[in-house]
Amino acid sequence: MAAFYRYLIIAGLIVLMGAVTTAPAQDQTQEKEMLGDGNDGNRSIPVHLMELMVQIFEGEPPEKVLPDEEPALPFSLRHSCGECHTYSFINSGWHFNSSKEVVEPGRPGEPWVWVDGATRTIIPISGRGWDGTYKPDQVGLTPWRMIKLFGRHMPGGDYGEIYAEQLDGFDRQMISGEFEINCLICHNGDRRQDPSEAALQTMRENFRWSAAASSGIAYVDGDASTLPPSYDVLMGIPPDNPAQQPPVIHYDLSRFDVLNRVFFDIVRRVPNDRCYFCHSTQVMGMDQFDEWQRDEDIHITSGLMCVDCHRHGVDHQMTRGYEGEQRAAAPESVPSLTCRGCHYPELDAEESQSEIQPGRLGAPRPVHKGIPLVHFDKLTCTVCHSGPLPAEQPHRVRTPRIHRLGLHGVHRIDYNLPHVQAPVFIRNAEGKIEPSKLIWPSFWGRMKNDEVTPIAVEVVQKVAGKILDTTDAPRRDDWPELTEEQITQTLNLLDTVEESEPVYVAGGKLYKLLRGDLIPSEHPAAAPYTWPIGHDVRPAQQSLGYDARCEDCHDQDAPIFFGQVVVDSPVLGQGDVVKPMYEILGADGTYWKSFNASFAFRSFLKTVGFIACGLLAAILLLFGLLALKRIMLSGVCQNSEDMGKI
Amino acid sequence: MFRIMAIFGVSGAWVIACAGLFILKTKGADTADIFACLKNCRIKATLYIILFLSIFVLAVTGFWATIITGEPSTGYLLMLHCTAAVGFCFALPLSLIISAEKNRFILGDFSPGLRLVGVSKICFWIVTAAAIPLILSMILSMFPLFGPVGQEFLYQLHRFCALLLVVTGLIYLGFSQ
Repeated sequence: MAAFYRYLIIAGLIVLMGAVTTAPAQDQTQEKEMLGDGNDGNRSIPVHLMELMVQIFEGEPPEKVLPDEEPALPFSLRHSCGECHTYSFINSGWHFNSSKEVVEPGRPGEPWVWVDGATRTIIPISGRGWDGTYKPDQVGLTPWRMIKLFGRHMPGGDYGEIYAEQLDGFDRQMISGEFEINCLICHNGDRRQDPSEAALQTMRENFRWSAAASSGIAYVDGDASTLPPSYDVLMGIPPDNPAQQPPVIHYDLSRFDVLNRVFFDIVRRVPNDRCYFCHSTQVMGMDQFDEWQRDEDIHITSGLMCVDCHRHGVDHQMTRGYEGEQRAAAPESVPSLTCRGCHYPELDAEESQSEIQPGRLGAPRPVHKGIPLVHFDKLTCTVCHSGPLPAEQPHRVRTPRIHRLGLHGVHRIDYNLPHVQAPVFIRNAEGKIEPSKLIWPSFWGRMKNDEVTPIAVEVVQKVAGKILDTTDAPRRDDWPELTEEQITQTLNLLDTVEESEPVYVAGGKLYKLLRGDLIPSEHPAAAPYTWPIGHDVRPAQQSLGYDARCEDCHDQDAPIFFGQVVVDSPVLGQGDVVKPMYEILGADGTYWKSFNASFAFRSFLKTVGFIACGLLAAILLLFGLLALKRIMLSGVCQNSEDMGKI
Repeated sequence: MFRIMAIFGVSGAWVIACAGLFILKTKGADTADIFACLKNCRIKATLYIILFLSIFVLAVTGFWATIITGEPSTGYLLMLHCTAAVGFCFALPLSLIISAEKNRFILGDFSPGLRLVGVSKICFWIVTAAAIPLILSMILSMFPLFGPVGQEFLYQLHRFCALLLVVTGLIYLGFSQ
């Protein structure tokens, strides 16, 4: 028994010593700054002649990738770049943190849009919780489904690192691997870097092969989505079923040196094309062969790069570049990277009290001749300077993330839904008018306590797939038309669950059943989702109001107030509905009609004003000269009587 | 700053004008009989009505925003302000032409018994002089000549000239005989 106690004490001491010795070691690891985390002050970029690493089993140290090994392993950027850079620090950055609750959402941005033509569904989705969007879990989208739907335009990380935490992604992780941050997708200066290939690999669920395949140093064949969860991809044994195609990687051996290192042309200033892959806008209505006629943002044309303004530190917290941006890290530099920060330096110098001086990048000071000051209080800079020129009807535009642009080759499909309209002028949170992109949400949902939550597309398809069948549905403006009868039948099938009644939201209206009749009504859930336009910035000469062209906005049919915003809806008979811009803006249409009409009398007012000033000056001159005459003669005149005669 | 100046300036001018009227009445001086003037000359009457109405509308719409909200005039108030400005530009110079001769300085304007007359004449010429930058500042701001700094200067010039014109105009009315 004594021996038992002795062993117990010894064991306890060993555990205690272990705890004492390992705890500080862990802390040191966490706090240790890695080689690439800091900056030694030299502006040149270190040559990235790298060993490619891979971690085969979780918890084990990463191993070197041998390119001529059979089967060769795909390298992991988490571990290859992670040799010098702290991955966990980087993956809190803006591009990788939408799923994290703790992040400030900032002003609304472009959402992911879940589009399903069959159920006539368009749901704006964002993990950031912007007003008008729905969080993935609200609409039944797991991280795995988020990647499946939108991973094509994700840089990795974010949902890619948590998809295996839920059941529907759990069994796929052993096959597909972690969808880790693809550092090269932005920072590889090599022109062979192919984001379209990365998108293709992601759609095939080849997550762990994606970085290698898109980097230009390897060719990847196969499709992980065809493999059963039980398949061991690391063994590389060909499956019996020919339909199952395990991914296989073939490295370009010429890219490796004798030490099996690879040179990556890593850049800090990320090339514009890398940003464009996810962040560009195509204005519709121009033949694709005429695209060459379009201009880029004036800043790009002038030689700046996206990252000159949209900067970040090692933490990858991007500066979004709007006024009033709140950030956790380095907030002092942010105000100097807005329109005003560069172009009106003295304003922000007073406001921000920043040590970092604004007025960067040699930005020209705007002239703004003849623009009344009230415009600077009521409008954002972008109203006059950004986006496509306002037209009678806002332009239809497409973006890579919403319409899957940039997927070159055979997997390119021309998606037109949702119809994104721009520029649409709205009033932002600061009360300023701002140009925005707009989509009308359209979805089946449940309403409880006046709150509407979308129903997952699969549920609707399962319940009402036959009713909503689009095979014979006539097409109107890319939509398969939806009749009120179909809506009624579907709502009847969706039924009431837990006191929440089924509804359909489309075209700015909420449809619900009242004693069997379909009743459309206005509802906040049916309101359009808008997000601000930042780019493309037009040259000064193409700005609204340039050279005192007041009529650009103050005309009887000026698009900024009287443009016709199409209320996009699949519902039969609702196709031609439009809303005047002032209604979207929340402005008084009568006022703007009369105010703009008053501009016709401006020339008259100017003329009358000048004549009045002329007459007043003449009176002053005349009587002034008379007074001068009297003063001059006062020395000559002997008495007041003589003066009176004058 | 301007808000405080406007409040004290306009109310002070009212007090001074009322005091002037009171002094003139108690002295038995021959104060201006507006109704008699209006009966004598219809054109003159119309001119004065237009002038006073426009000044009233301009002052209310202009100072309302400044004094009550503390912000520049916008919306329907601004539209009304601009509409009244046309009447003001039309009526003011003509009225001043009519009254200029009467307000010429003569010896004895500032003699002990007639100091108020002298003051009213000074006010008249200040009104005339202030009206020019008042009108010109807004007309020029409509041309593509001045950037934000210039626009700000013109706006401030307009405000202060308007205040000067209203204050001196009120005193002129109170002291004129």
